Amino acid sequence: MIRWFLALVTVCFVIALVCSAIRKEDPKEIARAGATLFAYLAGGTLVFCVILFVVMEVL
Amino acid sequence: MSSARLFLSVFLTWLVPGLGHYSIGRRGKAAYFFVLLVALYVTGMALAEFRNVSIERHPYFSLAYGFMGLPTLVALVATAPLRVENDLNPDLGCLLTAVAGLLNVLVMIDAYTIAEDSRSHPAAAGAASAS
Repeated sequence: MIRWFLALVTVCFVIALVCSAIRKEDPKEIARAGATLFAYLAGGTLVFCVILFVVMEVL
Repeated sequence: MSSARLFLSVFLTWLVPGLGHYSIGRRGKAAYFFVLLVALYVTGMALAEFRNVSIERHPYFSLAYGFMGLPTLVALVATAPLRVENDLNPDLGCLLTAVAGLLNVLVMIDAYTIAEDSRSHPAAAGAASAS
């Protein structure tokens, strides 16, 4: 379970860093956009998992 | 920049992530993409005990691995003699390695658009690569 969690965080982190570097040149801008995208991806994944967990517990 | 150089940058990015950016003078971005994608690729392989890059065992994941040219070729050749144990669960490793391959498509598109921009606006592209 912890391996899956760490792997998903790693995937979100790398996706955020790569996608934020597309069409951008300034490192500060890339870092800011990467952090924002990482927060969205990780937060969205977490919310999705919580919803799935709640649905599975209720049904 | 000629059309041949344009497609060469895409081909080089397919071959090794970041190499296309290196060829068009974006060395910082080249190192950035290379480190991120190769690290993710190798992490995925390590999680699957270096047995996930196989066309026979994972034909659908191999489509995604195919977007990383040289690393996949090296992995196919180097890990072919490894024996697969019964209780192997390579899903996690396959996921990470496949994501690395798919992200390389974005890097190829980025290399193409930068090369295209420098063909259309050589002065602006020169200033950007110098900064």
